[in-house]
Amino acid sequence: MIHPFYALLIAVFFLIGTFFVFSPGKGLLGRIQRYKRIQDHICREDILKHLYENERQDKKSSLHSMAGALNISTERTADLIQELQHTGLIQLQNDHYILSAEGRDYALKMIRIHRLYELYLSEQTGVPEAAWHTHAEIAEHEITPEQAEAISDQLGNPRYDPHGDPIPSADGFLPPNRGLWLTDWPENEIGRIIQIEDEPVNVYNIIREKDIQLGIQIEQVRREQEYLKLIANGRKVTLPLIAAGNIRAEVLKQAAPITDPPARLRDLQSGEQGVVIALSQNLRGSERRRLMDLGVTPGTIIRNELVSAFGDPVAYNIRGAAIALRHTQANLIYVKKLGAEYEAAS
Amino acid sequence: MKNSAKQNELLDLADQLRWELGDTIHDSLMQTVYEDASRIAGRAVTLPAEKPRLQWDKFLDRLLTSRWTGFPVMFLILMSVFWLTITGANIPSGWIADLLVDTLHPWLKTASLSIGFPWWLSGFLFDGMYLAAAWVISVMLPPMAIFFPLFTILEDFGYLPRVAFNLDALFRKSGAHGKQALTMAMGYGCNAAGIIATRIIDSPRERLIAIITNNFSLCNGRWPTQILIASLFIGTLVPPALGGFVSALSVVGVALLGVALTFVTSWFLSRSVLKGTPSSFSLELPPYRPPRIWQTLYTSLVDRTLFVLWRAVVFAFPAGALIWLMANFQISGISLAEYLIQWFNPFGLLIGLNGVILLAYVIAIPANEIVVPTILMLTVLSAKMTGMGAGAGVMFELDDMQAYQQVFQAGGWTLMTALNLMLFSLVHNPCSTTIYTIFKETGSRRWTLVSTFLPVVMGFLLTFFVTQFWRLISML
Amino acid sequence: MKPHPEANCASCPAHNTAQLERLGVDMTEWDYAIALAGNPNTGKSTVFNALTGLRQHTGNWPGKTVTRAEGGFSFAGKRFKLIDLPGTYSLLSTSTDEEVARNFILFGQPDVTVIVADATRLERNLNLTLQILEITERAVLCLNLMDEAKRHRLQIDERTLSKDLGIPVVPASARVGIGIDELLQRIHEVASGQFVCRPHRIKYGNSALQKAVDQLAEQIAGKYPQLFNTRWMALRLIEGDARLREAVAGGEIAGLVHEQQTYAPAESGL
Ligand SMILES: Nc1nc2c(ncn2[C@@H]2O[C@H](COP(=O)(O)OP(=O)(O)OP(=O)(O)O)[C@@H](O)[C@H]2O)c(=O)[nH]1
Ligand SMILES: [Mg+2]
Repeated sequence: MIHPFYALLIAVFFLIGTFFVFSPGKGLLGRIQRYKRIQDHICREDILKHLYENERQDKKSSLHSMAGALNISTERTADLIQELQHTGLIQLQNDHYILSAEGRDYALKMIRIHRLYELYLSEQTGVPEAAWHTHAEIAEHEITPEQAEAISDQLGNPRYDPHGDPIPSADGFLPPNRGLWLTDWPENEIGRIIQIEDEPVNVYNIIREKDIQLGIQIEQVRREQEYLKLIANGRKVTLPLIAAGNIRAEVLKQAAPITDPPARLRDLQSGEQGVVIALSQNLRGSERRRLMDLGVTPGTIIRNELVSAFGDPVAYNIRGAAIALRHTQANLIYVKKLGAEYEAAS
Repeated sequence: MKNSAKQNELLDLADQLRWELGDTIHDSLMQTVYEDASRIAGRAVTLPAEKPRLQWDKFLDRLLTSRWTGFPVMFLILMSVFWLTITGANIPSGWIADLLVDTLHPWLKTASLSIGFPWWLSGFLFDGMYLAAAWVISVMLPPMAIFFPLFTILEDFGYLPRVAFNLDALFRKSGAHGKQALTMAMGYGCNAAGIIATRIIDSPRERLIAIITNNFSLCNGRWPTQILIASLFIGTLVPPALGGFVSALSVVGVALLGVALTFVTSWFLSRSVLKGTPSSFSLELPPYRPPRIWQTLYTSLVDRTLFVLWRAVVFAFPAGALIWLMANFQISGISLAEYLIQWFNPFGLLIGLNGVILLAYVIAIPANEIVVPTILMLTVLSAKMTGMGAGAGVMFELDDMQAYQQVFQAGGWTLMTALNLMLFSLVHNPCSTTIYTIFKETGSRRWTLVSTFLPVVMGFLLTFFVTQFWRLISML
Repeated sequence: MKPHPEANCASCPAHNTAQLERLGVDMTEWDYAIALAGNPNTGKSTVFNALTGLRQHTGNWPGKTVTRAEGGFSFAGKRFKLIDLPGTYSLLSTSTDEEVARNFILFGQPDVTVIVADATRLERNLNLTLQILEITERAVLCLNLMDEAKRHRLQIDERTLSKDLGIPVVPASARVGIGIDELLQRIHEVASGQFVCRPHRIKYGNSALQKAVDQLAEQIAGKYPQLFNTRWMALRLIEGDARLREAVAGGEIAGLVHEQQTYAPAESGL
């Protein structure tokens, strides 16, 4: 019989080899997959999208800007551009490239798929927000128009994606943006944030760091040099203009100013009670519906009833039943604390 | 259909209205329904003037879910269930074996031969099919008829959701769903049932994880294997008075290893092929309801008995027939079974098992229940034991522990073999019914293959490393 | 036990169970189809077992039943087919785990829907009850777990409740068989039309929503005059319910108008 030491040695080498091939992402298979992702047709589609974005922002697109945006060599970009010109999707105008009518249609279709897919991820899967964009970037090249229509149908033909961006319709109509950019906001109005651009990523990250989310109530918006000062859900926030320019809000006609930042369900200590004020917009899709089904609606009185062995989840008494929720969910439910004495009245 | 959906005027109007109303329809609707519900309930229900203090429920909740007592109590409950099962099953097991194997079998043989059955027919029917079924019943029925009623009482009492409540943090960290604890618990009865139960998990990703890892819940067909091997090899390492306790401890150990593997595998899956972060989780903790103990015991006992008997008929009959044929079909003086055993042997020894055990696991793909009977039968055959059983392909009578041990010793078993068998019984492919259920529930060949082969490969690796380290250490 | 002729039953409630013949899985030729719906863990399967004599698994945790089960019983000379459904919190949600129940209640068109509610948590159970009453005219509320309600010293005025909801309400403790007699009686009355339900209807507070629902409901009623729950359909279509959209697009909705239907709801899995 083989000496156990050698047997172990061989097995360990074997395992390392297997790991090298199959390890997700970094393994051989992962690399091959990634290589596929930079195939020609994907690059071509990305060029169209790049042109569309630039045209929307009145920027000009050159060979170099495209090569830079796609992170591929100029030679390859030149080849791809030539192909696109042949098929009539883009044209050269003076010194820069523009989309033809078909090219624009094509780009809009991709944007439609991208945004639909993000909405699908947000509504019907547990994929976290940070990963939507990456998933959608892959999906937009893979999903066929028929599949896209099926997704749209299933979602009830939505018009806005989870960031509040309009989704182009199947025949290329772009629904209007709602509300106003924060940079144009009238100082005395109270409003609600309805759209946050998720690109460029660094700006989006600033917005997220400030904990600005869809559905938040804003008031007392003032411009001070390069900054916008405002009160968001009762909390003072200072936003760089570049970030404020990526946020839209709609005017709320009858809204009371929010004076204190509300507590979260998660803040209730064992035995404490609170009354639900609102559910964050970050509770979406089936998750939001499930919570409402369980009786978490504005006005409901909830008590922290039981803490689990590891501290998370916590069971809350909601309309007579103990319902266990994880902290991540309890963090998205705004409440007003009632204190433990409230018990007698409930 | 999609095209007509686009052209339908009702749907178009609905879309239009939806866009106009904005995204708060559902919220306001739910609020309206609950307001109505609350008003109607308020009119119908009169609360007691002073709230009855249900101290007992509160106390239990604290005890079962608090940081310091939650897990120890869980462990204690598990231990008691297995201790009761192991000590309680011994006696009825003996009775059933006495009746079915020692008394009825010889009688059937003699009777059949005396009315003129040819030897092969009587052998095929009674040494093959009948004995296999008799065996399965005597090994399986008593422990399962004790274990499951106890389990059902816990279930009816309301303990399972508390376990899920406590374990959720671990499931969350492994990227899985907290309700997987419940499907795991259902898997303790039968993996196929556990897999159907995964329907309570809403997120497809987490449901797949729960399906793939359900196999790490020891099922009805595997508990008795664990119990038997633990009693024979581990319970006997200590003085008899402690035997039951130590055996129970080792079975609980294996079960907990299964839980640990569930976490590890879930973690691994949700970081590789099933990438994603855990979705939401909401679980209603029902109030404790005092179970109707006698009724539960009775129905659960009847249910289990029927289940075991049914499986014995469906799976043990054909398996017994097959074994008998393999043992009696000879090629140049060596039986087919022996060829196969020799063929499996080198690999079996490498992972601390042997050809007999591997062949038994192949034969037992349809049902885990027949593993132990098959192993015993094949061992006798390959070790050419005399004085045991009545000949090739006969599952012989073993009325007490010593007889079992003699067989295993003849087969070259050591403590290490026993340990590896326990591990392999925990981590190997699901049975055929379970595989079929996985296919039906996932509708995907790929995931069915993954759920089938992932555990086998893991089992091979686990037993391999345990074996080689064991050998290395015993060389030092 | 032979079922008695119908005439006897109204006057002798004490002997109802004597007329109950548990048919188990024998469901050949049934007169009425009865669905058991309700929140999870309210005792639906226990009621099912009490009526059919079968042994559906029950357990004290939400989600024990995940597939639909069928059984039969005969009462007052009629044969009933009983369908035990998985528990569901709402008909408005989109979660896949509750799909079987939702689809059956919406598209299965049972003759009577028995809503099994937990008497100790009436408010949250009424949420589903009210939703079910939006789509069916024939329902009975089984107020189960009354023994638990007593333990909590809750008093429930089932008459007021019945008046408010417009359907019969039967207090019961299914596990010990209390209330099953009366439940049978009421099911029979509603199924045979002796009792006509006047179900409570939700009033949508949001007036824009009310207007939108009215507008679409009118359109639906124009196209399918026999549909009686157009309001609900309108609401669901506005919400974008994928299954209902499919039914409208594929014309399946036309099949929902007939009073009694052989039903084959979309089934997932087993
Ligand atoms: N005390 C008491 N317990 C009951 C009664 N009816 C049912 N139960 C218990 O309540 C628990 C739930 O019963 P089930 O019949 O499984 O409930 P279900 O509605 O079918 O649950 P799901 O299938 O999960 O939706 C079981 O443990 C029953 O024994 C009753 O009248 N009184
Ligand atoms: Mg049930």
